[in-house]
Amino acid sequence: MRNRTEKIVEIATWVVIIIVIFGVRFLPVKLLDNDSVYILIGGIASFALLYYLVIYKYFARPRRIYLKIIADVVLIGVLIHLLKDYGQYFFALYFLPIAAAALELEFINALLIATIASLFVVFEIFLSSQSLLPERNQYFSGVWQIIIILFITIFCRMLAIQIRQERSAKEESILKQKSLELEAERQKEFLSLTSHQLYTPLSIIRGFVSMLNDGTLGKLTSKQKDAVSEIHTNSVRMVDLVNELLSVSRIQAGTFTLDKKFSRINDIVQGSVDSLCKSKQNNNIKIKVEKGDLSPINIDPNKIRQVMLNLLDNAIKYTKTDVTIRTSAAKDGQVVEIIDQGVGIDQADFEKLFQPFFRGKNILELDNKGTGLGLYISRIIIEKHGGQIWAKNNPDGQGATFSFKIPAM
Amino acid sequence: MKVLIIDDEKGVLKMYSEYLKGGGIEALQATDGQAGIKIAREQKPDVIFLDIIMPRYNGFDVLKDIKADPELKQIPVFLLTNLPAESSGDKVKSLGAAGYLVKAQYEPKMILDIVKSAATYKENPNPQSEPIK
Repeated sequence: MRNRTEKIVEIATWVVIIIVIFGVRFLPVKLLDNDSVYILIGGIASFALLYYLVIYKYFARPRRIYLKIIADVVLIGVLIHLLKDYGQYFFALYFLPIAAAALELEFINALLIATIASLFVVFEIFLSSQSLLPERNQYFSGVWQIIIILFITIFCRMLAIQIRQERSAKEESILKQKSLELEAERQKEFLSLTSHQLYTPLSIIRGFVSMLNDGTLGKLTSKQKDAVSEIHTNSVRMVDLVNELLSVSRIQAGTFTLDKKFSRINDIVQGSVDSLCKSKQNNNIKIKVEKGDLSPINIDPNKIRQVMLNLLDNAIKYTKTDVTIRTSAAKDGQVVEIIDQGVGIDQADFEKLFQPFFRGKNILELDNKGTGLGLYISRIIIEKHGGQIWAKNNPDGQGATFSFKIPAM
Repeated sequence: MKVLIIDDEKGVLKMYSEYLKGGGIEALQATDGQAGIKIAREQKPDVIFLDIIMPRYNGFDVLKDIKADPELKQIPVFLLTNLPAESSGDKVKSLGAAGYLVKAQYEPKMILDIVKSAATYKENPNPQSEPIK
């Protein structure tokens, strides 16, 4: 495609050159002698043969471009030198490279090149009007004009090449970006379908077991009830595990995004506490909420709720003690603290706490209460909000406090 | 109170219908979108639960048709699916769904709670999404 455009541009350039030559040829005879025209036509034909049969065939594209520039410059210089005594007619040659640029480049870039070239012409006119240019009949007159035109040609050609290279780099980067987006979209679709396929049987198992468990499907014996209750608890765990594994997959695939809207942290905290209190196994644990005076903040409420549930679940599962949640406004954001009364955290574990699958023990001593992904996912969610999450032992030596801060803006 | 559940998975239909019936609610069932629309027009349910992935006529199309029908558009429609909210939550909200529920996270009891609260929704039909755990 690029080679084809290049060829079309070249052909168009040559057509313009030939038209100019014939234009000059049909001027009144006294203005031009025939020999000059034959020399020019011969020169152009040789150049065309040289270019298309030798340079084009035997040189790779980048080197060819430079050879072509040099050849163009030499040719246009020779043309102008030969025609220098014939007034404004050869001025058309000034704009050959510009015409080439206009044919090849986008409108605005060609216009930019033409404007720059025009400025050179204006500059020449200005120098001429100030009598700073040598007299026309002097030998230097031709040299001077050739220098200016060569300069314009080189400049325009270089600019055109630079713009073309930039454009091709931009096209490449757009193409790369598109392929990355396509890949991300595919990953997203894959994860959506995977979760659908995993959730479908799980949702039916969980639903029916919950109905067996709460007696909707009839009375069970005590032993049956125990078994069903275990199945129910584990089916819920399985759903949570799939949920967290999918979140981690989304994080790794780079498709984990936030859906931000102005929301009240206090409402999210209260909602999380209410939903946790509804589940039976947490009946004996008291959760106290101390709410600060907080204004709505731009966050993803569902994701922050997920963080709250993870931290609360963590505090309850691992410490089995009462929990206090405190929300407050900080200088540069809003802070939520989850304070438990458990055994606290070992000094060595602080750094690893928010890593995936960290549960404070080595893998052979896992206590199987959670997926080991909750704190990691919470960290990612808070960091995506531009905030921080951390843990520290309470100053009174009783338990630990998990906190996160979300910036106000 | 009448509830229509449109889902191609018979186990899902059976599970939710059974529970809702136990809660004193009439549960209508449809195994595909066309049958669902037909039942909705005939029976005028109070709430519709709609799956997304169904053969031929998917949940988005069914939702569009419900919302384009002057007689049905007032009925709150909850998408009840196993597709994660990230993939289609925004889309269904813009189509006028009352909420987006992931089946694996909503046991029949929670669905019954939503049906009961949907009566309030009818008086104030501002789209709201159920939080996804």
